[in-house]
Amino acid sequence: MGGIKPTVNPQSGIITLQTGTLPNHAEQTAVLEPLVQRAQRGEAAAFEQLYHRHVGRVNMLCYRLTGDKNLSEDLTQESFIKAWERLPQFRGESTFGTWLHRLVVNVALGERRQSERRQARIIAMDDLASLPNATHTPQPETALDLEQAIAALPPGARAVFVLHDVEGYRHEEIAQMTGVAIGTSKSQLSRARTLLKEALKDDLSGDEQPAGRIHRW
Amino acid sequence: MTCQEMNNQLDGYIAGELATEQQAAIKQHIADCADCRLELSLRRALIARARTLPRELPPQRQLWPAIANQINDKKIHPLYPANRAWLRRWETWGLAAAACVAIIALVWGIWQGETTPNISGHTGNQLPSIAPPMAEVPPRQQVAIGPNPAYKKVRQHIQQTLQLNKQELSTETMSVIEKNMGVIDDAIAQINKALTEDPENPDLQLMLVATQRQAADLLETIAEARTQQQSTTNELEKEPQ
Repeated sequence: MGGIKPTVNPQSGIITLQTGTLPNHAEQTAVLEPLVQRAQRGEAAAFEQLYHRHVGRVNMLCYRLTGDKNLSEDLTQESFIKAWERLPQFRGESTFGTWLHRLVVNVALGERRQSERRQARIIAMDDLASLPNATHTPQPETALDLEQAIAALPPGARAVFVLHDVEGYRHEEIAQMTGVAIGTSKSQLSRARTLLKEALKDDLSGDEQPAGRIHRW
Repeated sequence: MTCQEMNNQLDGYIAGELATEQQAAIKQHIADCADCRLELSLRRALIARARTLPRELPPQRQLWPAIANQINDKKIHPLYPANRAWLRRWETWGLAAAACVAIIALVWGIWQGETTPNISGHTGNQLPSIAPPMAEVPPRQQVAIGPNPAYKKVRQHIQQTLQLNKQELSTETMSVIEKNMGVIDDAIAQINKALTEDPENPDLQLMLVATQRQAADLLETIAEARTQQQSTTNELEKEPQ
């Protein structure tokens, strides 16, 4: 079972309780279920504990789906408020984390759709120049490079790549969540991988690893 | 198989979604083509790296205080009617009941206005004492599902009062009062029904008590007014002596 360890954000000084590893089923049942039930009865203190357990993951997901750190925090806040509103609809058919994860995806993608409508901004899908590190300069912090490259992806391709390759959703699930056809999800993934591979080509060379199992919420 | 064809099917190949023959054809192509071998290798490396990305990113600013402010607002409480479609239905009943109370009050006011000038000539029936106090209606936390005895008592009392004074009230007035009392009773029955589904719902409990109290307060006012009217009439009748 992943123990809970407090971590201090050096920039904000906020103490956050995080699980060292993903909560397994036993932890979900033993710890989270009573918290969820208490929160469902309107107990804000229980909901606050759920917030502290999940905020890091929610914020990460919002950031990856939007590519914008400021916006991701607004969406994280919105996601938790929506989660509180919709708690009565949570029936325990999945874990709270899974339920919350889906809700966050909806909030983040909903914002993206609204933003697209507002700005009517068209991002060229094949614009490799929009990606950072397109010059293929190797960087010491490769994870950061990949994060930056993901953030610079066109929104549709970014969402599918994050949901499929990072979060481990299947195309059927992605199609359902994003409202696109399964074929579109597949082609967006292919496009995202091509763009990322081009952006990180030098860095990825000799980096082939066996693909591990994705730990989903 | 050309490199382009291979490229088009590469993700399907990585995911193991292709038919056996296609898988074999790609395998063969990769064995013979260094460029496609590199392409496959880079894609696999990318996927592997994506899976090792950090899972958490603590926010830079404190989000909880703003969230706490919002969720402490009753309007987005999980149990607030706005979040439960079925509950909104019962809320409508509550509003209907409140509207009926207002209609009865209006009709009663008009009727009183019409009858007061003739009060000296009035020889009405003996009126019962005022209705039992609604203080007997339990507070919100003690609301029990089903008929509220205190409300039932008040309701029966005013029913008797209205029956005794039926001759004094116009048919129209009686009809409006009875029709609207019927709606109030229906509303209370519907709220009670909703409470059987969700007995601990504080908003439903509050709605029930508020509806009963509103109705009972009005009925009590009617009964009191009639009693006062009767006593004034009696005093006026005594004066000439």
